[in-house]
Amino acid sequence: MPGTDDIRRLSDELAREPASLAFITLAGLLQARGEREAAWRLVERGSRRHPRNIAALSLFARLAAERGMWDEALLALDAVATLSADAAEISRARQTQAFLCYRCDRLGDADRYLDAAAAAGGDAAAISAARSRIRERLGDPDGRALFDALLEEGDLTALLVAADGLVTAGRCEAVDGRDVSAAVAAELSVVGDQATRAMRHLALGSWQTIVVEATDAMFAMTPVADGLALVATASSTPVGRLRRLLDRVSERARAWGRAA
Amino acid sequence: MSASARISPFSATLQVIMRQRGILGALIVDAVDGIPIESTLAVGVDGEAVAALAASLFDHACRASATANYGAGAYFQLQAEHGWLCVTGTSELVLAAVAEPRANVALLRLSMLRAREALVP
Repeated sequence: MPGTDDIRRLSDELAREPASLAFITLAGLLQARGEREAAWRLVERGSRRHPRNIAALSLFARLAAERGMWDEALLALDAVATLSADAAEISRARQTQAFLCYRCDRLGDADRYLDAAAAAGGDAAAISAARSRIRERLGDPDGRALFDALLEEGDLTALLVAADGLVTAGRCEAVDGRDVSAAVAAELSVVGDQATRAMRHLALGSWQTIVVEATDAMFAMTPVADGLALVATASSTPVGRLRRLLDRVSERARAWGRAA
Repeated sequence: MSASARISPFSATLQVIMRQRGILGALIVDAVDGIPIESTLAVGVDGEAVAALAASLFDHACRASATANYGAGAYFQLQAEHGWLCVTGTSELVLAAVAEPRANVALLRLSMLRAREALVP
């Protein structure tokens, strides 16, 4: 049987030196031979002994995922992304997390992991393709639900507006439920343009955020790439939370822009 | 004419705003044409430009709010690299303030929203 000699040699090595990292290769070989339980026991024990070993954690995540232990796999990949100094490895771990979440229908989480993969400089084409699959499953091929997972109770809308005033992603619904995305985007792009012009006259440098308080809601906007990100919340929402939501939406919009 | 007779109805409002830390200018502006009605400005602040831009920004922000059915715009706050532009007002008058980054914008907001009540005819 292929690998039998290697398995015997690595087993002997482990028996002599239980702290050896030989368990990683040995577990891989056992897994390849279909001895899944033995591989799992080995990697489970070994990764407990070496909780900061990236190869061990990666293998643990792979075997845990194969056993349907999604949370354990996600935690191990979190550790990989946190411990690794290699951007490509971090991005791979985040993309794998996204894939696992996609498989178990946690689409909002999958989207967030793709943001993290993009932020780590991951393969833009692969991330974009993964995001498209999520949108298809969400029934959202055009990005209208891009920010939905970020909105909590009391949050009204999040919108990404291009420099020409057209909606790029997200949606804006009026209090009565009408979709007013296009009209609001057009008005806001004028506000953004005027703010940029105003900064030239007022010697205040470039503008960073605008917050508008209205009687029934408040909204905030910030420049993102060539356009604007907008969020709106109920008027009772603390301004600090409005700003935090704006930060998260901007981050998502930037990641989406990079991956698109 | 005595000195007190020359004090406009807006002087006290502007003084309250100007007394706060880091305020570079406070203006009452005609909301329709963006012309300053009364202002107190630090040296180097272009009152005409602030007035025109503040009125226009507030107007467009209010329009966006109305379009989304979010109600009437009450307060506009712009944060820039080197300071703040804060605006409140009514359909006729706008109160604008320009402030340094060190200004306490929470206090400024409260003062301006209180002052807004004095602008309502």
